[in-house]
Amino acid sequence: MLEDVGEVTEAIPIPNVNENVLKKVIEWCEHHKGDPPAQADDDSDSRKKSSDIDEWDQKFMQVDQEMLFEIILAANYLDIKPLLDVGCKTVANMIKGKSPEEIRKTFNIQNDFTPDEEEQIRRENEWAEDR
Amino acid sequence: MPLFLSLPNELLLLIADNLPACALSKTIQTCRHLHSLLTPRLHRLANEPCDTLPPLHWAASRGHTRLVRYLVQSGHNPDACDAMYQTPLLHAVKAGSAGSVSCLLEAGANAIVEDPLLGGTPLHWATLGGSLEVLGVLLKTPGVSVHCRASGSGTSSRWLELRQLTHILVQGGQSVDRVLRYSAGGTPLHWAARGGQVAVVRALVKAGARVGDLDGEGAGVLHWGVLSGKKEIIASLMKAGARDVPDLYGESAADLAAVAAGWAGFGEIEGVLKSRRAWLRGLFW
Repeated sequence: MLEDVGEVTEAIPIPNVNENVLKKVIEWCEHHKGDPPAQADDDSDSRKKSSDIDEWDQKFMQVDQEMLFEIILAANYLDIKPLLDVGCKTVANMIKGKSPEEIRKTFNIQNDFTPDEEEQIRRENEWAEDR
Repeated sequence: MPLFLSLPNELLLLIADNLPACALSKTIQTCRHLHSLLTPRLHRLANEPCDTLPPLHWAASRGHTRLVRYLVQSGHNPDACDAMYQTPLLHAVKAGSAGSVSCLLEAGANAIVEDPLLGGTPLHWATLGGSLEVLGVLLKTPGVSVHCRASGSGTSSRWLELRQLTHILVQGGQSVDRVLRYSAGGTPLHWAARGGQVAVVRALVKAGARVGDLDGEGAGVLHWGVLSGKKEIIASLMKAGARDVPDLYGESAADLAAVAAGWAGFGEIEGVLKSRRAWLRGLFW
């Protein structure tokens, strides 16, 4: 992003990121500044590695949901891919192993299916339980 | 305050990319928005291979009929072979899934394809699975004959077990390789006799299977029945009119049974055959 704007002296506005969130993002960047650059091939099997979040990051992500989503939004807005990745994996880990009802509870999702629809969708996707 | 559902779709999709199929399917079941957004992702996973099997073969081998239907409808070839030369229909039959079998047959799958590795048509394999429903579906399918022959060297799990026994026996100095001859040219009733399920034998006889048919080496259904190790099979076949006629090598099913009875003297396999010994003795004499 910085390369896009070139050499600048005036402040860069980041209206979508509030101070607390920015502090967290900077804390994360400080900790990871020495990391080797990400491999290009991490796309293919990200699914398998999804639980691989290093210990420091796991602790870092132990925040309330509001902050977690703010960090993800900020990482996306500021184009910090590794942080975005850690954020998404953290949310994915909150979903894994839960029933639909538990997922609804966790994320405050309103069930807007009729019981019939719900049953039909469950049966359509039954195979996925096997994978 | 941002809620999960207020995240932009692109971020929800990124999160979904980190979910295995089972968790993705649970997420899809939570509400309409996630259902419409994430279903294409789940379908993408459905089209990926699993457990070294192509998607349609996997679905058939697990008896996931709805997935089989979806994959067939989205253009997967119902007659494609996997790395072990099996078609989805052979997988579905071996899995005993009548729903998947029907679905594949409706999609035009070859109903008389032979398992090139182990021999036997779907009808042959259906006799081993013991699902009368699968058997019924196949018998009703045009082109499937209850008299069809397995051209390959027929093999079942019981067959492999016998092969192992023979191996031990040959090492022990006693050759019983004649047992291994009863392979090629068997009818579904031969296979059913060896498979050892009385209900399957009855269903085939009722569907018109001939108890007098001989395999490629002149062995009758009783020869194969001996291999099942089950007295009820022999009794059921004899009741249906089967006669013990010597094969091309001059051996009757009774001769075969006598050999099998002799196996019991071998320490390790004694336990395996102990249950059979009682009926093998005196069954034919």
